[in-house]
Amino acid sequence: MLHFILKRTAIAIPTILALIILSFTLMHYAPGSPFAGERPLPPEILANLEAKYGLDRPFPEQMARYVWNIITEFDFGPSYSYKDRTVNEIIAQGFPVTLAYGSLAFLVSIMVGIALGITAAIHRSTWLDSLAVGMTVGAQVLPNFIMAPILVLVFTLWLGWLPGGGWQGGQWPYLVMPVIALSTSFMASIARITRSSMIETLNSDFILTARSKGLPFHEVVIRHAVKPSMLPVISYLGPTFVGLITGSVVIDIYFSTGGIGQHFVNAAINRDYPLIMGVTILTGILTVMFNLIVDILYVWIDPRIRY
Amino acid sequence: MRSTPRIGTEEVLLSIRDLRVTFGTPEGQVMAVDGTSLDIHPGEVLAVVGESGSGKSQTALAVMGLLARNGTSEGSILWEGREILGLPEYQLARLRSEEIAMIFQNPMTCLNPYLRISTQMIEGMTMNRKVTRAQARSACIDMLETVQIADAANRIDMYPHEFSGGMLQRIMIAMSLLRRPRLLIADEPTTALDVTVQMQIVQMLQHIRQKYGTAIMLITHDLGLVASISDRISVMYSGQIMESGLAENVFSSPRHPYTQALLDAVPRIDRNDRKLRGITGEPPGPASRTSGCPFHLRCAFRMTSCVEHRPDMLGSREHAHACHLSNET
Repeated sequence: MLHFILKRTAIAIPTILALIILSFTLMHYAPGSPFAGERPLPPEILANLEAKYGLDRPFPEQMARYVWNIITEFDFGPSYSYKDRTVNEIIAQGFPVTLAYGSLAFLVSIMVGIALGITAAIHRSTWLDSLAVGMTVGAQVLPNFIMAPILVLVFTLWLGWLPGGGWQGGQWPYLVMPVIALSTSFMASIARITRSSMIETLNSDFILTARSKGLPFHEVVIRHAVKPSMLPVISYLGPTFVGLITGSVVIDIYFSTGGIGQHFVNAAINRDYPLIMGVTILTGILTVMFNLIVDILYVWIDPRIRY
Repeated sequence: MRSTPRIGTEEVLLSIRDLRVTFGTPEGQVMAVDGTSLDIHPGEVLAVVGESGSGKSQTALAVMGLLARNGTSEGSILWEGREILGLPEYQLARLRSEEIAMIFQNPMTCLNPYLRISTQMIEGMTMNRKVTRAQARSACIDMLETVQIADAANRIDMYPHEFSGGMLQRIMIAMSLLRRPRLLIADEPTTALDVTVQMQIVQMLQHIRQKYGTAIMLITHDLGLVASISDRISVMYSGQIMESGLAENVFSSPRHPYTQALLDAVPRIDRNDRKLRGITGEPPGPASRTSGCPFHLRCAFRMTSCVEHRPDMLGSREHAHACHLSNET
């Protein structure tokens, strides 16, 4: 098992390196410039700026320097658009916020989604099933950029229960709406996957065996059906977590939570190369990490899988 | 009125009367079991023989209360004289846990691949009984040894995929016997196994019956298997019992044309022509039940009455059958 984890981690390094090279190249050859504003800058100033950030250097040298700084000092460079801040600072400030409400949304999606899915599956073709399926469809067709304004309208403007935005160090009233808006569609997907997987499991022969032993139905579900039904759900969780982090774009914009999400868009619009690279690499590392966790969970759940 | 084999004064363990099992499907009602009656006495082996789709398994599942969600059963199922058809689920669960056990066709898929054998064996025991886990575990190991799983004490903690099909079926048998059931329903227990392993399983069932006095309802299409172990036989076709009686009677002097054809289809090395004989035609599926005798479409002795009326089951407990041909003479 340790061997497997080490091997997978070793594979992750070239994966991320490839990601860096690819995104760096794409960005370099994309049209536009970080310093192209409404008013063109005088050529001398532009030259100075490019010299300051090393953009006058040949492309391979730029890339080599960038990678070298990351490896030796874990330095992602200065931000071009936030003049006096480094990418490290921006991520260090925004990422904990995103991680806080992202993880909460992740937990909420998993718990509510799985509970809904199981309820629907064991009460298949009854009103409970229809209700659960109806809720998931509803949640799925409401993307977070529609959920967010509706939530603000209801809970802030009409009822006045919750603040319409801000973060305030992550106090719970500021967390509620971001978490709901972010989790609904993922919750719905998890519920759907859980439901169909659970229905399939409940049709297995070993469920009949378990029932023939005289176990009450709820015991059969808990002891025999939940674990096998979770495999498809787990394989969905890796991409989901990353999706929650990147999905925070909308949340950060609507609720001014100050997370990393807003930088996905802003950095790209501003051609803030180092910041784009920083968020991309962060997402890449998260993706690789969560896929590894998913693989480990698989081995842990299914005794037939061995690496 | 259809008469069923007369119940004597002798104790009856399980008595099925005029059982009908129907499934609601998008295409309409499908009748899988169509007025089946049979009795099982303590300690006896009753073989229920028939082709696939004849309703044998659904009869068994109806007894267990384990029909699929869209299935309903009518008629009467008496367990020691008490009606169990339509009992609430918790009482059925209790019955399954204490009185009637069941093993299935495919042992490879009947054990949960995600759980250790020990977990799956012990869970049925610690539930209703006042047994500690350690006691249950050692009882499980004993039972595994009874079904000749070598090195049971270590192997009990292995997963199902680490065993062969024959071993898994023996584990299934061991697991079903832990609760000392009075009746073991074995639904095609050897069908999915190698021929060499099939005999082992049959001998195991024989041994179990002698050791614990468990009655066995053996559902199968394998007449060779039936011959070696059963006391009585019920031949089922299209959801109905065609012939039933003591094994030697049914084997030596089959009365129903279907039973005769079935026995004739068993390949025999001592026959001169060495030709494989089948029964012409297809068995009617549960969706296309006919009026009259269900076998009339394939029967060599068909008469007008066969198409019009369903024959009554006539005869004694030793030998009874449902056919117009011999009932008229």
